[in-house]
Amino acid sequence: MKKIVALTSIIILSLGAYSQGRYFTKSGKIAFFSKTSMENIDATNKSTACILDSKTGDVQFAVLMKSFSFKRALMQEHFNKDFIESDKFPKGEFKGQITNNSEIKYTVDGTYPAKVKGKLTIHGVTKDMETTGTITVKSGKISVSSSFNVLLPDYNIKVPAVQRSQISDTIKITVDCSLEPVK
Amino acid sequence: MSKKRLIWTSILVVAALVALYLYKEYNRTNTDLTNLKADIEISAGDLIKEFEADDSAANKKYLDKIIELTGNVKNLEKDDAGDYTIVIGDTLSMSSVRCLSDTNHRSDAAIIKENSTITLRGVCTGFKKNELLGENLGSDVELTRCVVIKK
Repeated sequence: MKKIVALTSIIILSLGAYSQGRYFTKSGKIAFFSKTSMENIDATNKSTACILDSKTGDVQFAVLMKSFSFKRALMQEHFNKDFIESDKFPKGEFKGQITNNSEIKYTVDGTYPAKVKGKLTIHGVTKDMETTGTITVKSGKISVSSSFNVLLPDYNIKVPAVQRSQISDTIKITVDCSLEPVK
Repeated sequence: MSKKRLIWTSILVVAALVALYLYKEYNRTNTDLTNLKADIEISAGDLIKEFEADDSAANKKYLDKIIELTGNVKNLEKDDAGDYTIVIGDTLSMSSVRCLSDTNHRSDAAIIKENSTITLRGVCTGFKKNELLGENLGSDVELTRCVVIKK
């Protein structure tokens, strides 16, 4: 009996060890912002999935394009139908790595600058991307944030001439995710 | 003279109506789902099952449709903007239906109790199979503009 208990605990412990060091969320936030002299447009997605492997520094994010909420319905319709074509390209994704991962102490409270390198996929186009962000460790909780710009032409997103004055070619994207350990 | 005046008046009226229409259309917000009829009524468990079995068929059936969803509240999440996401599904499963509450109905969302059965109406925005870095985090169907239905 003792043997069985011991064996079971070893199996359970080793199963736990398998995902140890991985953190995730499914309620992360990604927002984007377009600013022109005519108007500002912003939209937020509150169901961003994110995983971070603290051992390897691997990170991955995934969002559904249709889950971005806008203040004005018309903009949301244009975004999904004309620009992002979310019926054809329903997802956005980033897969990459924290290149200075050894400098981040995931068990010590603090705010760490992170360098990230990877591939961003929007509108069916995948591009190499490099940016910086922040990893905050606070009493066992880990949050990641970043802000960077993307250029619409890079992702083959065309803005019709009539809307040029309202939509910027440079879109600012902000990422904000609070992660919990993968069990 | 009076004929000319009539023409000018009509032009002005038409121009004003067009301007009003454009203004309204530009500022239009999403329609409140409280008084709209649902396209489909389904339980959270069945909806997740259908998407997991064949997501392209399920997308054709549910995407952009008004869904009246019934299920168990696993979790009620509030973010720093004050918006609520109601996570519905089986507590033992990693998969859920994530329902973002309509911002005009925050007070209804705020009083939702975890581990209670709820019915709400929302628009389906898709399905995400969350297999990130090879880790299975469970899959999620997502609804937006959700309003609680009192039965």
